[in-house]
Amino acid sequence: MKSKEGQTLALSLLTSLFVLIAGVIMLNFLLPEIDIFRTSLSCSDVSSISNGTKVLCLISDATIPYWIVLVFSLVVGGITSRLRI
Amino acid sequence: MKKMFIIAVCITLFISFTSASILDNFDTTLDTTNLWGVSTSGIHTLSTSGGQLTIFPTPIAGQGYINITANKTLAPNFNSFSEIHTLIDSFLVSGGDLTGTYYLYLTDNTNKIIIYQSSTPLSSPGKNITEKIYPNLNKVNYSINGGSETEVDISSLSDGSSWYYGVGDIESDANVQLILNNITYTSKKILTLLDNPDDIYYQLNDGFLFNASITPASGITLSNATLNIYNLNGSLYSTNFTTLSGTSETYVNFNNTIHHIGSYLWNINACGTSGGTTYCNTADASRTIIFGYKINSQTYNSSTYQTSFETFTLNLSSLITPTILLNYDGVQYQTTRNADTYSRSLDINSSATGSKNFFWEITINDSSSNTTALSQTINPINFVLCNSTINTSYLNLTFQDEINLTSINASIPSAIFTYWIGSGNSNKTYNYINNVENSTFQFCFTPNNRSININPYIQYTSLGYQQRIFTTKLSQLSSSIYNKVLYLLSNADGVFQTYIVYSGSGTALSGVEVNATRVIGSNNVVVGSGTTDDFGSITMWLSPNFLHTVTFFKEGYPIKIKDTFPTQGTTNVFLISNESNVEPTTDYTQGVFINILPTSAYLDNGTSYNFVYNISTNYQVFQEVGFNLTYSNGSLIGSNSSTKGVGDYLTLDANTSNSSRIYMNYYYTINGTTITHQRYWIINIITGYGLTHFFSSLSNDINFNLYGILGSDGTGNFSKAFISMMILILITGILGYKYGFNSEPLVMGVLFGLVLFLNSVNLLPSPDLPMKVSFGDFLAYIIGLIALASIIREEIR
Repeated sequence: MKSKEGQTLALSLLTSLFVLIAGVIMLNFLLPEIDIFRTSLSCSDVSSISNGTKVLCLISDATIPYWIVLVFSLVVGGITSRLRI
Repeated sequence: MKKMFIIAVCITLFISFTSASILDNFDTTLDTTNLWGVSTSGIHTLSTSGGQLTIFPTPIAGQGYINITANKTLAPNFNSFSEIHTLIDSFLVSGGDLTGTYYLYLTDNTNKIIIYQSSTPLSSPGKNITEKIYPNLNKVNYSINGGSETEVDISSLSDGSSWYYGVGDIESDANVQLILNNITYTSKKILTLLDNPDDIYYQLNDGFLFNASITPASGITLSNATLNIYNLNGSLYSTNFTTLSGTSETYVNFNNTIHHIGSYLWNINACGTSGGTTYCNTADASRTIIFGYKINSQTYNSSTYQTSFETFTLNLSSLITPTILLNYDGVQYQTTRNADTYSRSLDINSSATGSKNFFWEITINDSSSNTTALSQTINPINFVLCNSTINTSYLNLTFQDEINLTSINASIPSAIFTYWIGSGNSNKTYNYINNVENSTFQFCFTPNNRSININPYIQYTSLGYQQRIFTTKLSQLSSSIYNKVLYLLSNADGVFQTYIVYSGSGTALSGVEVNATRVIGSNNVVVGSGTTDDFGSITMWLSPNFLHTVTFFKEGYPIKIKDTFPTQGTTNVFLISNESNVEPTTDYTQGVFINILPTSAYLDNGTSYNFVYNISTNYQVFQEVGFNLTYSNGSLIGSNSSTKGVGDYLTLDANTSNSSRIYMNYYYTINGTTITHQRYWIINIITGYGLTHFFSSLSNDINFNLYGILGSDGTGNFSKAFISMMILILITGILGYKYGFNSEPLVMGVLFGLVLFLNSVNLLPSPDLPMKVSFGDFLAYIIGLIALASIIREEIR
């Protein structure tokens, strides 16, 4: 008979794997939106856009890294919390 | 139907030895007319004139033999002889089909005992039958022309009947006659017949015996026998003695006493006594024995010519592998061995003539022996302008205008023909000068049954034409004349083209064979040739209107071929040695300086860069330098190269789009060895989604004065310093306040990480400093060193 701790670990691994897959799949939905966002703000034309637009462009630039960090944080956090590390 | 006709002259030969006493211990020759009782029978005639016994059979086509008949029953009592009797019958077989095979036999019309058979006609000069009759009469020992003896048992011949010699024609297709003459009678008290080894016998090992049969005549008691072995010059090599006894035929054996390889003569002398008198007898002829080796065969040409390449072979079996030298005309030559065959090839001297002796010097275990000398006749060879004596044309020179191909007359101010038959190591030369213009020059060679090779050096010219030189080797010319057209170019149609040939190290090469050819009609013909002088230079008179193929060759160098239009100038040609014994330049990096641009390892995407390969040397000589640029998928962007010996500054513009990397494969070639290196640049492609893009954008935005961060002076040093200080203080302060900093290395590590990050995003100020490194980089280095020192100091404690 499996122990309760073992069942929890298996559940956490499965949950984390689901979050990871979902997060990676979501990336494909985010990428074209970011392209549209950057294009509409003319982020490539640094010399002609306003400072506020530049900040928005920087935020959009950081979206994907932030998203990846978020997903990996959830995955690692989920696993480590179940393991009580 | 083939009929057997027997044509015979039967002559009863009654041997009447009436007195044994007159046949004492000496050799004598008897008058055959007195010795032989002769009668005729049948249809045959007999002539006894001149001491000859000649039988003239009636010729019958298809079959023939003749008989000489002796009546055995009428023969004397051989058992009572006090001597050993020997009859030597000289005979001729003539007439009939002399190309057929004949045989001699004894017969009594019932039995036929063949005593000799020859594959060649027994014709002139005739042969001798040596017939030795033993006392018991049961055997007769025959030998033909002193060769090996054949012992024939005649006991099968029926007594009381006639027995006689016969001569037969194996093919039975011709008539023959047998002529007996000069019958010699010999008697001896003791007969010594050598048994083994046979004459001219090769003995490979020591385990053998010399033996002979000793037959005493009636009343003789054998006493001793002596084996004598002689060197070929007649001096005694060794002797061996043994005692004998008895009054009957005795076989005597001697152990071998030869201990040095070589050729020897041997014989046995036997002695006996009768009534206090000693009688001795040595075999009629000594025999030859070759000890230690056996010559199986020799091959050579008995006749040859000057400059030929002659091969001599000796097949020999021996006890131990010998050392064999060929001694040819007094000069020793090493041989090569293949199993039992030893061979040596020689270039026959160009001035040698007449008969030259040669033999093989065989050495085994410090014991040497020479084979019998043989001779080879050397005949002269001559290559000259044809004359009444030497008139077999081998080479015919004619001349044509190279442009319009019309035949012209030309003269030969100087020509040297080097010619030979064999390998060329031995050759003869023929100098020829003729300043009179002729349409043709024919050269002849003798002997006309051999091919020759010629290295010509022909200077030829004609009025209104520039002189040219023809040096192309002509191989295997034969009596089927070789017609060679030499082309001349008029003074108005050509230019002087000079080639200077250098080695890979830049040294001028002399003696380089240069041939210039071009296509005339459908043939590629030589229009200029020669060899370079001491300055490596050769000048040719060539037409500038045609493409020429110029070939450069020198022993030890690869052939270099250049297709060119002559331009009345000087062209440098490099030949790179391929000889292994030429000292190679092994350090191809010595004195080579290379500079590659751009220096940065990272290039921006979609940007055009000027790629530079700058190579120079103060030590080597480059044959070629160059580079090529490729994308990461291997597709070629472009290339550039140079053949300047001191290097070059090579550039190529290329755009960085569409690839993650750009590779530069740059090389230089020295002495035929190409040294290749590779450099690559990483193309910084910003995808717009990663941290790289974020920080790149941040840095870009700052450079574009985001929120006035660059300030009034446009450098943004104050703003960047302020922001950097704020970030450093806040992060370290918060971390320290929240979690505590308990060690100096930890604080320094955090500071180093933050400074490195701020520098990478261009947030550290960059004031002008009197040093090449930027302030941000300098600060990162300093903090990094302090952090490292702090860690080390903490670990040492």
